Amino acid sequence: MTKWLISLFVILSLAGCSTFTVKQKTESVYKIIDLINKGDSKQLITLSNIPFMYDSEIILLQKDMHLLWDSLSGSGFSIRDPVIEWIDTIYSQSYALFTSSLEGQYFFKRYLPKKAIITKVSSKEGVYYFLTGGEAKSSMTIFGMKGPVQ
Amino acid sequence: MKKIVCSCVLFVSLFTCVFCQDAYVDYLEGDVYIRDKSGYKTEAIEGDKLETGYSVICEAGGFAEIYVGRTLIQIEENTVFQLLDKQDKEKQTNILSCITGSVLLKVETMTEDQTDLKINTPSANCGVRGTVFRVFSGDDGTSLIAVEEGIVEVESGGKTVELAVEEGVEVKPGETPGEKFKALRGKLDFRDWNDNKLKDFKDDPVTAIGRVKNQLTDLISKLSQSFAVYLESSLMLKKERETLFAYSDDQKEEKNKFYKTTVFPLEIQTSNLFLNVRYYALSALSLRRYVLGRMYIMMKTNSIKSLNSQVYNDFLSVYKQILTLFEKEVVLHLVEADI
Repeated sequence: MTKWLISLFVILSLAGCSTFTVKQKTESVYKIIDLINKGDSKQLITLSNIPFMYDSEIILLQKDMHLLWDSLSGSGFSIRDPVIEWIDTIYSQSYALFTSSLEGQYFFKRYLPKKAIITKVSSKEGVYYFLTGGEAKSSMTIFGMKGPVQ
Repeated sequence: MKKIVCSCVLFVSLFTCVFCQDAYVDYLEGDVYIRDKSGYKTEAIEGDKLETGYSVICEAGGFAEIYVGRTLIQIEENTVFQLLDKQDKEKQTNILSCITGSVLLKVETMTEDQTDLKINTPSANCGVRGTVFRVFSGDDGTSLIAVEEGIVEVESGGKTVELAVEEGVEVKPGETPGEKFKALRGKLDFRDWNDNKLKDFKDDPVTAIGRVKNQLTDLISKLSQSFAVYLESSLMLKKERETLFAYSDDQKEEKNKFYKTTVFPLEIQTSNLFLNVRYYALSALSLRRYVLGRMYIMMKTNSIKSLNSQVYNDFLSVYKQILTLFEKEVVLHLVEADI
């Protein structure tokens, strides 16, 4: 009986993992973009992990996280007509999409969870890259953002 | 080159794993973290020991009191405070670095045999002996030092200013100290002062980032000099070690004597010289992370709807020059844990 229960638990756990599909990952990134477009800096601060990479800057303090999202919100920043081009897992060269620096390389290696994903979003202003968690529980955790790249 | 730096870190860590003076966390309020020399950040607990390379990070609403020897340091919210070591005039000196934010220091009068203590900010160096004073490190890298008791010497760009009771001075990055002013006890407010610095930055961001570039250039110059001296010493050490290993088994006594009189002093000298390399590299990293990084975030987010503006692009041009300089001259002296 115990063996049967353990097997069921394992199957359900694996099923849980596999059900976090590309579609859901896409939805999570669209939700984040929606928060940006609504100027919901409070929620974005809550969802942002520290350390956080903004372009090639590593944010280590809560104060700077507030500065980032409050200032973007205050400037009326929005991502117009966003389209997700692709979603990918992090590989050894992914940091180059953010920065060519060794600091960036270290950040990607040291601070991103194993299942983190990188998403390319095109918009009217240019291209954006988002670093988010790649699992259901962390899909709305933001580890970094770059853009607009023109 | 990277390999040399990494092996040096291992070598030096054998000699310098503990801050010269006992340092510990005495009192805490709110969100306070400790980042250790491996780069791991943990919530601070009263009684935590602090070592060289450790940072105390007081987030918004946080407050900490730490002791370094008999010196009490009150660390205010939104402050990053780091403990470093440096070799100064053949002597190991403890450096307390207020990277960003504000601190109040109550330094007990030190006796001659005690380790020297210095307080640094991204733009100034302060020498103290028995005094109470405040240090502000602003978002634009400017520092303000104000004395409540005793005397403080503030040095920057080769110029030294001596501050007496209720005197203060401001030091902009890459510049010599400004004019002394009357700083009445309890009348200085970090937030008001920092808001003015931010206003100055917004009025003229290109000049402000130019100052940071000057400060970084100065640090890089000192870093290069320190590294050259360190390399010379480590090459000499390598040579003497080869001589040591050339002694045969039946020359045990001579070998021990040679180690004690020649190799060991060189090992100590080399490890102390490496402290300076680390000190300047970490100072450059702090300037890049907490001053330049913040400037970039402010500038880009404020200009997000006008990224083609002349001011933003002039700022960006200097910013990119600094990043290139940093990557070329500083990063090779850092390790992954520093990032």
